[in-house]
Amino acid sequence: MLFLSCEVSCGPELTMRGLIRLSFVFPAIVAGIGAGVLALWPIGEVEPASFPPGDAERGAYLARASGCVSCHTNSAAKGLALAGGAPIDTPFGTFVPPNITPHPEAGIGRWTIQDFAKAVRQGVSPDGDPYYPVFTYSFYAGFTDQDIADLWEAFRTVPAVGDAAPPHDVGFPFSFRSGLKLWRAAYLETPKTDALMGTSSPWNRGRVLVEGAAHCAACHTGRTLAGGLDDGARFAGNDSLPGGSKAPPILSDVLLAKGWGVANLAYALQSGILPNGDAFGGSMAEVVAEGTSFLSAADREAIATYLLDPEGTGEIPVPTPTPVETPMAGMDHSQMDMGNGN
Amino acid sequence: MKSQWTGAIALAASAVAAVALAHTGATGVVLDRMNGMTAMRDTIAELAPMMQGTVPYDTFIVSEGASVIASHAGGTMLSLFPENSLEGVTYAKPEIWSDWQEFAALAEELKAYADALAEAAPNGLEPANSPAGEMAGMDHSAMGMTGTPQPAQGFTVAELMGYGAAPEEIAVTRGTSDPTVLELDLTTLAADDLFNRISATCSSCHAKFRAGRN
Repeated sequence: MLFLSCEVSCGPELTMRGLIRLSFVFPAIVAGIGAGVLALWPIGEVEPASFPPGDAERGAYLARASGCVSCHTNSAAKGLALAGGAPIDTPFGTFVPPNITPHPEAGIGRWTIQDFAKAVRQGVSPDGDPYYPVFTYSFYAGFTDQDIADLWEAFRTVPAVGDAAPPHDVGFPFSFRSGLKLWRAAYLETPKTDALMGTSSPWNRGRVLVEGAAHCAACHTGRTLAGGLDDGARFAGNDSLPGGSKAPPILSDVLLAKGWGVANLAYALQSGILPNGDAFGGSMAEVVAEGTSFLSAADREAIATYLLDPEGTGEIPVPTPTPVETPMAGMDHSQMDMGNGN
Repeated sequence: MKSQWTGAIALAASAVAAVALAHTGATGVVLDRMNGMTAMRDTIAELAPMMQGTVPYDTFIVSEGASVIASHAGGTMLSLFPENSLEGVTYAKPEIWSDWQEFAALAEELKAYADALAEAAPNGLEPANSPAGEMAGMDHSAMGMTGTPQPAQGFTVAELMGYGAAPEEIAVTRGTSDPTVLELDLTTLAADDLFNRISATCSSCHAKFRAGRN
């Protein structure tokens, strides 16, 4: 209507000017309306009014298994426990895992257990904002009320630290948090951690850990341009981890072909040693040192069992003594970044 | 006699490693340090099954193997990393020289643990009923295998949450490069404890200073 009236009354020159103006104004109006709709779009479910009594020991184990401690503690800088992690460089910006000690201002001291549950299981802050998916909350969606109560009890034992972690350094448009609601709609899925009939207890336990708490796919599955997990490349490896590290494929056929079995894989998760004597480097070294080395032997075997037999057939071939490919020997140099840039 | 065996094993390992790596294109000091790393890797591969208990523990092989590792660690290793020696095929990261103190500390820590293992090999493996041993020897059939992960015996809530240090007799020092660790009488520790410390030091160093994949 505006265009028509201008065309009639203002002549062809002003009509062109009007068009140009509209080409700026109209998208801005649409974007503004879209942003408003996104901001008002409610996310998250109401958490239970009460939770069962928590067990700090079980919660601490779950926190360690889930990567809470390693991610939210800047060990390289000798930072205090859970007072904020090392910055994570991604294509979307630099994210800093926040202080989650019980400090009332710098940490989560003012949170209720419902706030905590909503953050961990749903990825939604107490203010109703979505968390960035660099926080691997999607893997924790299957945590039970008991899990949450246990975690909460464990976190309440942590000494409060009054220094808040630095804010994320994320540019527009990724700084517009409400935009993450679209990401959630496109990518958020509940992990498949339910027990399967006819499979062994270790296998089911491994499924709970691999698909849930231990969130193996977060590193070992490639990402889409929007940062979501690429379902078509599940466990197929990822050469673009934050910080330039790489995660190899952990598909069962690849693992078996490289000589992995339950015993040596479980041992690697404990010690960091590969069957050929090499030691993990990159981010997997940290995963072992700050995560899987704290797990029980049974849990490490369960993880190995599930990874080597994802269908739950109960049959895992005994590995051949073929040396495992490592960076030190037998490496395809044509694939290697020799610029020492990572 | 012991030094002769150590020298022979180290020489053989280095010779095999040299052949294996010759095709990589590495030359000079880069090849030398690759040979050293490969010799240590092969030794770890030989000792690891003993530490897991999947092959019989042999005090002599453990001691000799530890000596091989020690011979490639510490000052020997550092001498093979002249400043900015990044020419050709190498897995070394420039951070080695920008954070030389940390790198040197890890190299010395590796030698200290390896020397201790060479001496402490007769100590054998950690008893199965020790706090750390209980984890490895857990009765899996008794574990609840669904839902919440099970607490790991041997770790307190404080240790698991990261604000409490593990008791020295339980802890596996994870490549701390902390000089105070080296002041302990390491030779009183069990062989698998020392072996775990060696592997943790290797991992810690690889994570910080080695390029390539995990």
